[in-house]
Amino acid sequence: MKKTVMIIDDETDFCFFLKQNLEDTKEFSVVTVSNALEAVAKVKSTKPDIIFLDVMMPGKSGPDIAQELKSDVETRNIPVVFLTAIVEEEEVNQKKNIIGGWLYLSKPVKLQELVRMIRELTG
Amino acid sequence: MNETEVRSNEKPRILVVDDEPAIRDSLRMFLEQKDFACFTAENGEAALSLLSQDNFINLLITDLKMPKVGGLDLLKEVKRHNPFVEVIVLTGYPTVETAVQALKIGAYDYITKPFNLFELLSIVERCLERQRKNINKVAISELASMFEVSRSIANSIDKGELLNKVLQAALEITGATCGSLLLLDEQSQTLSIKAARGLPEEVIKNTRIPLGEGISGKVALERRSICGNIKNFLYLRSHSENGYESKKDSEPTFVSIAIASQDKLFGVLNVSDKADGERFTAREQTLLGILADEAAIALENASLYEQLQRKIYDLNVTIDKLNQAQAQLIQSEKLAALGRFSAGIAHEVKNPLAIVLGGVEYLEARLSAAEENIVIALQKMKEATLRANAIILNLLRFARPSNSVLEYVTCHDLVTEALALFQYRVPNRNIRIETEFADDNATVYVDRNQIQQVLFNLFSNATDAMPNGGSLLIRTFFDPRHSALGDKPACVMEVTDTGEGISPENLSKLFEPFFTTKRDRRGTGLGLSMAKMIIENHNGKILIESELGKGTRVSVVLPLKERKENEKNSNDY
Repeated sequence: MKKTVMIIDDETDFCFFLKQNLEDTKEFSVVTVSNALEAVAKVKSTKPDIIFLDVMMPGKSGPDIAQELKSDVETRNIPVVFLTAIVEEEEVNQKKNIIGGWLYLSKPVKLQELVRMIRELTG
Repeated sequence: MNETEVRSNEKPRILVVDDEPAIRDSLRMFLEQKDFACFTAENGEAALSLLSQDNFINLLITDLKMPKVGGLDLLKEVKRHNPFVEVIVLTGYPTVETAVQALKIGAYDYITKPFNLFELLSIVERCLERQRKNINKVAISELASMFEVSRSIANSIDKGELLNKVLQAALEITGATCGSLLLLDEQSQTLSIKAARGLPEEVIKNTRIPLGEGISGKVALERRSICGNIKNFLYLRSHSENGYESKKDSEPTFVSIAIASQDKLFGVLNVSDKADGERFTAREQTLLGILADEAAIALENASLYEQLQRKIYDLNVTIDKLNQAQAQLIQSEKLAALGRFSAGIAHEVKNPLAIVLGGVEYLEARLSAAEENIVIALQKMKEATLRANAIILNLLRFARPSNSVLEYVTCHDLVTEALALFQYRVPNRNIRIETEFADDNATVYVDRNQIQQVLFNLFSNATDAMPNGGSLLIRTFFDPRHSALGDKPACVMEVTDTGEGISPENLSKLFEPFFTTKRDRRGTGLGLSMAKMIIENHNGKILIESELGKGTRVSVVLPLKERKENEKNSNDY
């Protein structure tokens, strides 16, 4: 069964290409959410296997959403990976993608890397 | 010493000297009735002894023929003591000639016995009137000359000039040929001669009088004046004072007077050896006293002026420092603004880049089977996207202050490591690299990565300046007193190229963010400003010398920091 990947990012074009590219691999089905305020409800209804979450979004920040998901029994076990344009790639690499206990990927992110991370976390 | 000064605001004081009690008493009663203060003495000797106790009088009325000290001798003595004292001589007929002689040596008038008391009174009144006029005249001229002296002293800011003026004035006022002005050295508490007349050079040079010792030392310590009779007074430094100090009323051959303000002792003024062989009169001593007070005020002013000069100097130094700090602040403010700006645009630019990359990868997947050229085009777009991202990362890294990890390291190690990295990354462009390492273990305490980043940047700049090849000399050495670090010990890393050099107008802009001469070669204009910031964060200095057509030398000067025994080399922040 295909793994369900959820992408929460207010950049709809980013979501569009990421969805296409991931689905091209035939390994995943992708759900995108571009309204941060709807994100938590969408997670609960979709129950994805993994979530990629933008950090800076209007309405609600990525960390706020992640915190909410972690404190809910229903969603606390879903792996969350932040996608950030702020944190430097180098810093992300240096710290082995973990900053403050969270997983990070630096934008722009290469498809290969994304796929590797999904396989690692959902495998 | 004010005792013999003529006082004009009080009842005139008259001394009547006559060996006949009847005359003395009748004169006294009459004069006291006319509102004079009157004293009497029976002969010249008694008069002198009276004068030595309460020795101020305006007028002396004296008989000429008396036992022991006679009228003429008394007259001479009184006049020498204080020329302002008027004298009226009483005489009988047989001694008119003597009376005339008395007039010659300074008596105001004579009156023959027996005399009419009212006749005497009118002479006394005229006499005192003349005295008042004389006193005023002299007082005004003395005041005027004192005023000149004090004005000239007050205008002397230069201490040496001031001291000479004071001494000169002292000599002029008193007619002394010998004089010295000693100042107190606060630290050693000794007096030394700062201005002198009529003294041998070696005495001037070698005299050091501890406070309390000798006459000058005593005068200084007790802040008073001593006068007395002693030959070659100024040569003496250490002797008991008692043998030389004379009584207040006597006329000394030397005067030594303290120069002191209310709360500060400055020194001592000495005069001796009057030109005419005379002694110092009470009046001269008074004037010396005024002069000493003037000198104290002037010296106080001079030292205040000196303090002011020092303060002004300090202030100028502070202003210079402030200007430098301001320049640095502007520079670091620029960098800080750059940092905020970079962080801001990074987010704005990286998001669209992420979309472009996503789009490229999307097309790649769909068009991989299509024409080869499309695949190449996509590959190039992808590379360009990633490069744009790398530039932003670079900008962020340069602009964002990161936590330093400090460690002890030798310059030799820093340079060899940076050089290894540089040679690995940069192809040899016909450039000969020479190194000269000092044979020492001097260490600096730095963030190894940051310093290597600086060195790497300097190596790149040097090779970029030599597109047609050349030689790159890298030296390290230890300088125990480097001027750039305020003469503190420093480790220096020097990068010298034989390249095109930098023009003077560009030299001043080198450290400005975004300034670059390498537009065509993809310079960001951040390398040197970043290098400067890094080195200055390490309390070091980065110095550039350059000559067009000859080459450039960049020196990185870092403070020496010896590794302490048993200190670990890691985990130092």
